[in-house]
Amino acid sequence: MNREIWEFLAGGSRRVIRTWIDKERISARERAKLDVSLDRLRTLDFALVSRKLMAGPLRGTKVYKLRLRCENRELRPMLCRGPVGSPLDYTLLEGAIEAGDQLKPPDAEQRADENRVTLIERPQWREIY
Amino acid sequence: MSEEDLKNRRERLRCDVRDNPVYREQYANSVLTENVSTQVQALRRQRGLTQEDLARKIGTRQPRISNIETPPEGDDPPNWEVATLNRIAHALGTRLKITFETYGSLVEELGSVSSDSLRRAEPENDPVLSPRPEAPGPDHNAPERTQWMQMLMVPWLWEEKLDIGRLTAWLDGRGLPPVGRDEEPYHWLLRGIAIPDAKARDFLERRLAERLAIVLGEEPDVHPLVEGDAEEFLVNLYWTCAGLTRPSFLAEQLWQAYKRLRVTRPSGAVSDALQAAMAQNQFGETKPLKEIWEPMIEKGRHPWLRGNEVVGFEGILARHRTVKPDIEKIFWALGRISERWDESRREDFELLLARVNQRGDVPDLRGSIERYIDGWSSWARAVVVPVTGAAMQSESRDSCSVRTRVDEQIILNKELTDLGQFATASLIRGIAHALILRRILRANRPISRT
Repeated sequence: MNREIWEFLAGGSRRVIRTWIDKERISARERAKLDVSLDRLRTLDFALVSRKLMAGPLRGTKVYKLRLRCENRELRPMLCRGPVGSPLDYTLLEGAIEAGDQLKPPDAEQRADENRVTLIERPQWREIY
Repeated sequence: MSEEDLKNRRERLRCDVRDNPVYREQYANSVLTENVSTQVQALRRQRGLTQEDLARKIGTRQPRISNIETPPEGDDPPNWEVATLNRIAHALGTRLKITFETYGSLVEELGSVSSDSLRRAEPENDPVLSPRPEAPGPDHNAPERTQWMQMLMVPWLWEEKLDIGRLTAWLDGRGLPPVGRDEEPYHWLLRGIAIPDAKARDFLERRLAERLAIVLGEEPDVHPLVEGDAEEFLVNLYWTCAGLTRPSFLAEQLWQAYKRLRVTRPSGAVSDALQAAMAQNQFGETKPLKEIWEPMIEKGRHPWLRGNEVVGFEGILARHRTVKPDIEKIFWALGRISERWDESRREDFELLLARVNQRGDVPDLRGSIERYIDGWSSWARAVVVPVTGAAMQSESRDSCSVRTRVDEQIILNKELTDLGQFATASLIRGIAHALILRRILRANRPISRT
């Protein structure tokens, strides 16, 4: 069962995860971990990956966060299932980093949820990651 | 992932692995960790083992298995011992193979790890070691439409490939025998595996349970898998699970569904089906006993499931039969029910008592009653003597949970479901629920009072 991994386009054009990778200077080691996790999401059943690679859905939302502990910080890119097209696909919604129970940006969960709602209204605002 | 996307992804990975030593080492470490941990989990599920079962087989404790399947974050690669992995391999009926590979193989392997690719045949089903028997034919004594469904389902379950697309369609009411809407999809799914050969039926049940577990794992209660009626889909999914007794495949996923639905509070139809599925597929020694069945006995209700004392009793009885023999708990439940009820419900109490030993699973019934009866209400104690003499006949066991008489069971189940939905008296609804559980799961004989 293969699934697509999509990436939300903020404003219809800005790739949120690619931008986040550049802005936060995500290292080669961190990117390698992220890539492996996303490769597994693409090809494995949800039950095999959900509790291992992800946390969520976050309270009151349909947003999950990937769990990637890297070096001295934890990457928490936010994603959801669907929300348009195939219900089996995933869409990356917002990049986030967690340190000491604090998210950066602090409103990352809210932003991710808002991006999900925006995507439902504007399904063309996403591209294959 | 489309061919084009895969090609692009491969090209990016090829450049990263070629040009960046840090990236390639970490990528290789993460692939190693993910492959091993995921395959242990996938094979354990394929074999229908819980983490506790696997831990017992290799002489360790459940948290050790949990740590292998879900390594602590940042522990990459984990500090696994080859000897431990080797013991796990043998316990799962496989061999451990360790090879050294080129970094370039990471690019070639991209996209090749799937739930199917992680599965391995047990030695007895290994096609290299012995030729695989042909898929069994349908039950020629069954009605034509049932045979038609069996001809669809049996070859599909006989295959190694875990294709849940067809199952999802069937649960959504698509691709079923052309019978109109007088029956539910789960009726057909249960009929589709009710073939006479008990050994083959047992195999088909396991395969169906494995695929149902994958569908449950997609969390269709949160993320609908069909464009049609998502609630109908859930009802059919849970009732199909209720028709099987395969807790090692289904219990964990059903429990997770229960925990999610506890928050969202589904409709009565969904919760009825879920509680029936959970009654027949329980796991652990205290879950769902403490959270579902005991409160139903103690309070006569549950915070959101529609069951009452009768359903709670059915849950405890099913737990006794499938998870852990617990005669004391059965008689505790009868005692508590006798305190909550009065003599006007004597006949209902007799019905519960008669359920206790229908399968002969309380060897010394009289002795057990004498041991536990002290706390019962006096009217209930008076009920016991005549009932033990006449009604507690034992039934023969069947190795499979779906019987060949599933058609009759399903029709009665539908009638009872209607009764449960429309009856105003909670007693009738409770009895109906309990009888539904009984009828669809194990019972052989029609019930005289409904």
